[in-house]
Amino acid sequence: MKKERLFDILILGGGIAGLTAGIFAARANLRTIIIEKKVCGGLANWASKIENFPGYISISGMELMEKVRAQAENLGVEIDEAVVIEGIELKGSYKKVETSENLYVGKAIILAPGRNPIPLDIDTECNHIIHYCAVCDGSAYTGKEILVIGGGDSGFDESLYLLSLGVKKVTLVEKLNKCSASEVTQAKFLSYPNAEVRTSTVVKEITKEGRGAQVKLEDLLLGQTERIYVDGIFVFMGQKPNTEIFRSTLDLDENGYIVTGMDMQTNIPGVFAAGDAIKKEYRYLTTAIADGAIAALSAGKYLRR
Amino acid sequence: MENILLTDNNFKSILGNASGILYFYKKMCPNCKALEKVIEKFLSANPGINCFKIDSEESLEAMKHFGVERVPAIFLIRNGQIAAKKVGLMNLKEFQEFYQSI
Repeated sequence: MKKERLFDILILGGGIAGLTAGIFAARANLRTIIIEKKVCGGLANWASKIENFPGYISISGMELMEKVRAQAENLGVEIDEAVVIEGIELKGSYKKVETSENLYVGKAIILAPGRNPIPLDIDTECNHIIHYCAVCDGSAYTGKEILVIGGGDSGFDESLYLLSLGVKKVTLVEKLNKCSASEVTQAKFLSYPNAEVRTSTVVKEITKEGRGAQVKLEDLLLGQTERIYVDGIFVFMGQKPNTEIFRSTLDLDENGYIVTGMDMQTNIPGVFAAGDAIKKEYRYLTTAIADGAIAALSAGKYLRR
Repeated sequence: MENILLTDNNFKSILGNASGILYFYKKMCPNCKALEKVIEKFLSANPGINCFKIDSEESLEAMKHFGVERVPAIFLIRNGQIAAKKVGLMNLKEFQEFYQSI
């Protein structure tokens, strides 16, 4: 029999938006729990250096998130991590999140499920050498040739980390004619003699060769193809919202982002959303913080109606 | 029970005849942090199981000994021998199945 636990506010997702919502809810004396599938911190945990967060010239994402988490816990926010979610009920006056261990019931819920990496959509038998985390998997490639797919900040930051591990070469490909990473980071990457960037380039095929792969690249401007051998492939093609489970209940836009009002209210009364998973123009820690705060304040107002 | 941190200096002697869980991690690896939460919950429900951890950036000899290239890497140890190995993050249910698989 699962333990049923009642709160004022349930928060689904322990990234910066969820943690901030927790802080504001707790300061309003609302009994609050954050329910997180992995570990608090969300995507910020993956940033080795954050240099656009007011108050810090440079700080690791993990260190910053630990500070935010500590603040939430200090205020009495309960946190349940490493949960396996078995069911979510959003309609009705009580919202429910069932995990493999507990049944959490709340008078309101804030959804902050964040985003996950967009997977590489190529049919290949080389999935064992396709990775999404350089810290986790980069050590296997010291002295080896690497392909990085994606010219955003993540692609370049992770490429710099791979170079620091002593990989033989990093070839970074970007499908657009310009990379979106900051100019400073791009310049730093290109200062390495074993680093190469190819824009307007896409991966067409990945076929097994020895312990690595032959990758067929296509230059979209010239219409030419070329094959290169790589030992490993790291993919940083952007993120997609973790909202599939809400498809039949919430208003989502064409890309799966949750549609909210300016008060972070969704189409279901008592259900609010915040952070990267909502429809909005800019996705940064600072905008997620604002979302989380507004969602908590709105949820508090909803509970007092 | 606290997870026991092993190093290159002591992993062979401590794991000699030991049984339990051994995992390799990196301090800045988010998947490793998430796995630690999973293991914490598993051990809370299964007290008495030994749990050892090795920082893969500090203990290169241990990494080589166990053939670890990627983290998190998890081993089930029985009487000093490797009984099972898995690389990558697991959720609690998957970890429970992994532990029961041997």
